[in-house]
Amino acid sequence: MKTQTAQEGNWLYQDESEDYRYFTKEIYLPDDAELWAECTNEEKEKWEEEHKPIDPGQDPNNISQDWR
Amino acid sequence: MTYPNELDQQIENLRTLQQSYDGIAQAAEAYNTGKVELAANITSKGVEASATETLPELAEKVRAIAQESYTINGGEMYAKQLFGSLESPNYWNLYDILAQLLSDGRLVNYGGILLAEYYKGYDSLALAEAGAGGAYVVSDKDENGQFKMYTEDTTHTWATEEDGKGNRWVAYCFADEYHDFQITNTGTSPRSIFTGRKVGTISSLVDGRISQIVVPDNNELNAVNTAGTNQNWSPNIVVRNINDQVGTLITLSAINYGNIYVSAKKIRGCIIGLKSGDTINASIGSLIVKADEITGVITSYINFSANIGNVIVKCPRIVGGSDSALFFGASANFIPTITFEDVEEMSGSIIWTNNTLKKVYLNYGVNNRTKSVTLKGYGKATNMYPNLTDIVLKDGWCKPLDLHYASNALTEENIVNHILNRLGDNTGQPAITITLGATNLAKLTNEEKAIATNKGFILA
Repeated sequence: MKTQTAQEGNWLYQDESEDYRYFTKEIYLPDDAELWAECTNEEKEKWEEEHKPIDPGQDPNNISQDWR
Repeated sequence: MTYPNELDQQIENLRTLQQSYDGIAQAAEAYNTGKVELAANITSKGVEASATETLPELAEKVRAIAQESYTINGGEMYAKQLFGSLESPNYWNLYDILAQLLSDGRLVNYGGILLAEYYKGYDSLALAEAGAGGAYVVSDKDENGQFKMYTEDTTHTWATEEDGKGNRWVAYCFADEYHDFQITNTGTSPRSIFTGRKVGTISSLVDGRISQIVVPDNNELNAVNTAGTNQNWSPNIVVRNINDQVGTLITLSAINYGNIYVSAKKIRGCIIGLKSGDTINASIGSLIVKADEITGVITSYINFSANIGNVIVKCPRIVGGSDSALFFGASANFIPTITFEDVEEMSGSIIWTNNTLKKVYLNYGVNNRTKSVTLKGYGKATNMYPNLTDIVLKDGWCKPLDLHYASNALTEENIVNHILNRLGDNTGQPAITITLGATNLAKLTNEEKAIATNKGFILA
C-alpha cells in the first residue's frame, strides 16, 4: 500500500462525472496504482464555484414538480 | 362446333376432362393445405389436432379451445386454480373474464383490451372510450348466450339481473395497440382494471375509485397516471408489466398500506405521490420497485409522517437529477433500511435527506467495473443520512463506489466487515476507487486500509 498526500495547501482530486469532482488531502493506493491529480486551494474553490449545486436550503416539498 | 369425325370429338372430351381434373386437384391441394394450417393453429392454442381429422372434427377442436386454453399469468389458469371452476358464483372473476376475452374469436384483431369493473349500481353506462374502430363487450349476454358486443359508441342499459353477480364489467377493445384510456367522470370510474395485449396510458383526470390495476404477464401497459387525484387503492397494490411510467402512478390516501409492488421497464415519472397540497399520515409495510431504468422518482410530494418498513429497489440503472431524489420529499419519513438489488449504476440523490436511515444494502447484479454507484442526498452536501451506520456490499464487489456524501457515522466494524472484506479481487486491473470520505477513512488502521489496497482498490 502507498499513501499519496497533497502538499500543504493543495488538494488531490478525481472526477466522478462532469459535475462531481472529489477533493481530498490523502488517499491510499495499491503499490502499482496511478497517483491522483493535485491542485491548489484556489483552483479547488474556482471549480466549486463554477459547479455550484442547488441551494441545499430549498424545501423539496415546495418545489413545483409536475409529474403528470 | 362440328367435328369432322368421332375421333376429334373424343379428343376434345378428353381435354375437357383433363381441365376438370386439374381444377379438382388444385382444390384438393388447397383443402389439404388449409387443414394442415388449421390443425397447427389449434394445436398452438393448447388443443391437439391433426390434419388427418375431418373438418367437422377440427371444428369441435376449435370449440374446445375456448373452453380449455385460457393462458394468462404465465400459463396458469388462475381462476380455475383459485376457485375450482371458471366462474365464481357471486361475482365476475376478472382474471377469468380477461382470459375469455383474449380467446374470444370476435376480438382477435383488437390491439388492446381494457377490462373495467364497476359497482352494480348504474342503470346504464355511456360507452365512449374505445376510439375509432374500437368495440365494447359487456357482462350482459345476448340471445345467443355470448357477452354482448357493440362496435360503435353507444349507451348500454344493463339487464336487470338474473346473473346473480354483484358486479359488472365492460371491456373496451381498441383497434390499435397502445391506445390510451382516460377516466373523466368520477361517478363512472371503474374500480378494477385489467388490461390485455398492448394498452397505452390509463389516465384519471378526476377523483375516482380505482382499487387495482392488473396487467398479467405477456401483456403490456404503457403507464398509469393518477396525478392530482384521489383513488381507492386497496391496501396491497401490485402493478406489473408497465412499459414507460410517466406521470404519477399511485396517489396515496390517508390509510395504511401493506405492500406496494410495482414493476416497469422504465420509470421516468413518479410511482407514489400525493394529491397536491395534501398532508396525510400513512404507513407502507413494504415498498418494492423493480425496473430496468429509473430516471424519475419513486416517491414525490410526500408530506406524511409515516413508516416505510422494507424498501427494495431492484434496478440496474438509477440516474437521478440534481434537483430531485429517488425518494423525493421523504425527508420526514421513517425509512430504516433500503436494499438496492441488481444495482449496476447509481447516481443522483437517493433520499433528499433523512435522519432515520440506518442501513443500506448494495447488491450488484452485473459486476460492471466501469459503472459507478454513488449514495448521496441532495446537492453536494455530505452526511445526509447522519444515522446511517452500516452499508453492506454484496460479496465480490468490484465497482467504483462513492459513499462520502451519505454518512459520517459508518462504524469502523461495519466498514471493515461489510465494505472492505466484501470487495472482490481487482488485482491486475486498473485500480477502482472506494470513496469513504475523510471522516470515515480516519477510523481505519493502516492494516484495515490494506485490506482494500491489497485487492487493487484505492481508498479515498
